[in-house]
Amino acid sequence: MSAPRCGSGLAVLAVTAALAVPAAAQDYTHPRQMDLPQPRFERPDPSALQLTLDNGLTAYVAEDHRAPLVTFTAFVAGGTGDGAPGEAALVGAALRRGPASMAPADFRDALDEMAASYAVTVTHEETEVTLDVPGEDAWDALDLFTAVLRAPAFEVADMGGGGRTIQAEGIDWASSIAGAIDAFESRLFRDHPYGRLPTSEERAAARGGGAQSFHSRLFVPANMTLAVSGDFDLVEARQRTDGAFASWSAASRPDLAEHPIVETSAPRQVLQANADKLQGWVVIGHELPIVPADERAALDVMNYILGAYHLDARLFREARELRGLTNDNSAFLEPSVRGPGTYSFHTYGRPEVVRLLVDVTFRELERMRDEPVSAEELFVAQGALADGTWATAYATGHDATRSYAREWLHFGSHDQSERYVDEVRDVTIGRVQEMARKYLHPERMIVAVVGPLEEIADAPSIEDEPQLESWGEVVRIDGDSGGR
Amino acid sequence: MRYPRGLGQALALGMLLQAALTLSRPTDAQAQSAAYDLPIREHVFDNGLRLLVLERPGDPRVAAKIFTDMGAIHEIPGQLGAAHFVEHLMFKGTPTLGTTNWEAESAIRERMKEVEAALLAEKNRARNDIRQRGIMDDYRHAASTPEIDRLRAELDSLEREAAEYRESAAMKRWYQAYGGTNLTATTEQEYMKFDIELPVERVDLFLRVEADRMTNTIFREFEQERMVLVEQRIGDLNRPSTPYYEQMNAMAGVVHPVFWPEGYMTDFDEYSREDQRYLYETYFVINNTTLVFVGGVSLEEMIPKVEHYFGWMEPAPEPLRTAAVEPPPAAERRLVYRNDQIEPRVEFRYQIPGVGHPDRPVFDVLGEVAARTLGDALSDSGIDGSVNVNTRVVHTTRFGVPGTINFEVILSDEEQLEAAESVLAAAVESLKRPPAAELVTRAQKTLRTDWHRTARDANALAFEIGHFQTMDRWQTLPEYLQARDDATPDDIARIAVLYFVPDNRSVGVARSRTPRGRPATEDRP
Repeated sequence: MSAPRCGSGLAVLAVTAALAVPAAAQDYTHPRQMDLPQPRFERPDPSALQLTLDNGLTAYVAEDHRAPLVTFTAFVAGGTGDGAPGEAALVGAALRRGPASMAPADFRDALDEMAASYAVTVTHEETEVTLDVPGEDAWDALDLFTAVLRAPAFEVADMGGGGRTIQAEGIDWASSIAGAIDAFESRLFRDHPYGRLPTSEERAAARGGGAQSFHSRLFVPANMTLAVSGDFDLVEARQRTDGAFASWSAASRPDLAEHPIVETSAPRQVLQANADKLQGWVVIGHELPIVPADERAALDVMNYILGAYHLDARLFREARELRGLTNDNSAFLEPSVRGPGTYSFHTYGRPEVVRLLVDVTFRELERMRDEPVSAEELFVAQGALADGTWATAYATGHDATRSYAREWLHFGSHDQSERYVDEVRDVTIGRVQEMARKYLHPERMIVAVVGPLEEIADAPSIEDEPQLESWGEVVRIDGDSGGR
Repeated sequence: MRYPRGLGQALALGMLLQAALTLSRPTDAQAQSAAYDLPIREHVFDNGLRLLVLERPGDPRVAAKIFTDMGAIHEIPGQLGAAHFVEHLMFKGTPTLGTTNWEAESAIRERMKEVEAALLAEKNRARNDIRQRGIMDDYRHAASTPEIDRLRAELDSLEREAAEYRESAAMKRWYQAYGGTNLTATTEQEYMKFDIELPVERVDLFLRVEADRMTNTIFREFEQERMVLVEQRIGDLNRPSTPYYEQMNAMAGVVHPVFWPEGYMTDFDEYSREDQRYLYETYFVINNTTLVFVGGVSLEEMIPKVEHYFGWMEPAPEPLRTAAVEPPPAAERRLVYRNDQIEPRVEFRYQIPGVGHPDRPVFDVLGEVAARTLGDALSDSGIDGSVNVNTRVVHTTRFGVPGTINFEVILSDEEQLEAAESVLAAAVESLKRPPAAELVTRAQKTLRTDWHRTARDANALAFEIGHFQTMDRWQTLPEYLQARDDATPDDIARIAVLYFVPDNRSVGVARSRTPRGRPATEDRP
């Protein structure tokens, strides 16, 4: 291997030499010795952004002049886990159709005329509606946004759905990791409000007024927050926001259900589905209980070191960098506020390495519990979370209003975001291991594998990795007995 | 709370930097277009390095990218994907990042060079045999000889020995430790880039890492990374549309490498350290490099910093470019792709000029108009399908790289293929008459707003600036955006008449191999 290509620096002309101090050769100072300064960035004061209307609606409004655009987002505390089965999904469908005062085609045309981006997302506990438009259309768009939130188009005639699309159409095993994720979540939440699918009677009831009732109860000013950002004058934007929502009658915040925590149990279940594909997809995981506020930062640090979706996590290094088994092996820490979240690990690879991917993942989960992390791992994770992930959540008006609106909706204060950086910096090696032992339970994780099962089973062993059935009770979920 | 646009950052850089501003060449070719607010500032260093800065005073972070004018079109047949592989290898560290003992590690790597040379010689000797046996091979059945196997085993053994000194992921770790986000890299057909977003106070870290990466990369974990590329490729091939699009590319273009796929399975086995190093050392040279920054830094700040880390590098000979020039299409082509998993579809594809040609921006407007008219026409005809109009290959006219525009209709019912093709033909033909002004205005607003969504994101904006610079020149970007706004209905009709002729058309039809309710008429090969 050739030595570093160190040039002489002769190409640096006198003029530029006078302007700075060019290195005569390459500067090899190690990043840790570079004395990189602490970022001066501080999150904006949330009270300066907050606007509280008389009807109880809390909005966050910030100028953001990076582009002539304005974004309105509403976060509503209510999702598929609330109400009767099918109701939340039908509310989502109604929101996508537009306001009741307009024909759906007219709504689509209005969006098209504004070159708007409009999205409705319904999760277990939350519904999010976002409308992004050119600044010139901002206040017309605000009227449209308000109208659809207050009275979406519930029309029985052609409202379909009511369940998750992937379930309604059958699990799409062929669509990469989605099939394995759905298998995992379906099993984890099969007897839980987060996993329920409406029966035909329940769907009919939702269409017959249940969805409207859901909307009337949960889509009230006290149960939602707004994020408004963009290329506008702040005073005008606050006035417009107030004007658009002030007439919405106040109502007390509904009692939101606390959902029971599910818990997997040992022995593990190994869910398997055959797919005639070139790769196999793997999801390993279990539930995540509600995380106390004083553990969130430490859990994030542990998760970052283990496998958070980045390029230097242990799972990524072991599976991809050091072995070349996969393009990715990452952790997905997905906490909920009123019920169980999930903590799962996703990977995929050619059939001959799938068993080893499962094995390597379990090895790393056990190592996380059994051994302390290194000081360098902790240093990297703390910097990445404090100066990277957290900072970007507040770096622009768009980001800050969204972050604050969601925090207020779920926690009613901004204490967590205020303390977060200090809490991350205070995490110790011992605390990381404590989090691993509390939140990682490999012995009772669900293992979902979708792929060419016969090829996976027949592949020669690479590191003495076992067959999939050695990880737990095999359950075929594709209706095939397997024949093995 | 106000996130300011006009507040200047304190520039306490003194007289030297004032002088730098004065002497930079050519400076402040800015404010090309007030409508698009793109005050890009440029400084070209004497060694050929180009620095582009779009200042957003007050932004706490900066999107930083390094572009190299080298991409997939510089690969050779038999080693497709090699440029992408270089990108992966460039994450493996240097003598100062990624090793605990470079002296010990380098001795092992010298031995690896010798073993690989012997391996290449043996492969060359056995090449005719390999060709004979390799015709229908896939990656699991690569042709080999006992000597090849032995040498490969020795290389693996040496790599494991070298791994004793490895600090894995060193090129990523320090970015992340110091607040870096959006860490990624991309290999396009014409260029490669490495990206990071950092707190503005730590922009030096980008310069430190990237100067080292472009000059001193060590190809560690070579075999593992080869298989990562295989994983990425078979991930693509899991989608039944991938082989279809690649067959369409192969038919739409004749000679230009821009139409080649990202690597056949037999290609991955052909990558060697020696060939990878040739690509790396030929193209990753200072005069083939552009740095782009968007965020809370200024040109004045960046010049001395860049000088410090990159100023010592000497310019190298101008790298070789592909000499391929795509000949004008001379005949209509038709492809029928049969696959039981693909959604049925019909597509018209035409060659069009690349970025830098005055007609190219008008095609964006035409595409928006066509998507709407085609969607309406399908609906009026009772055809249940979605419309996809895009420029699948976007390239520069400057280097003779052709682009294409495609009009695709994806159907839910294969029985409607013929009817859909008729509607598609009529819709494309209708573009030869000036569309309604209102339709054009709406299309232009959509394009303008999409652009503003790009510009709102510092990373996306930095990408576009570098993209245009390496494809053509950065000054083309605001001109390009403005030209879309200036396009008239007559312009659209004019280019439709000029380009949408039968001899420039490639027609693609994708359908099932065994249509429902019909006996199979053809078997798989």
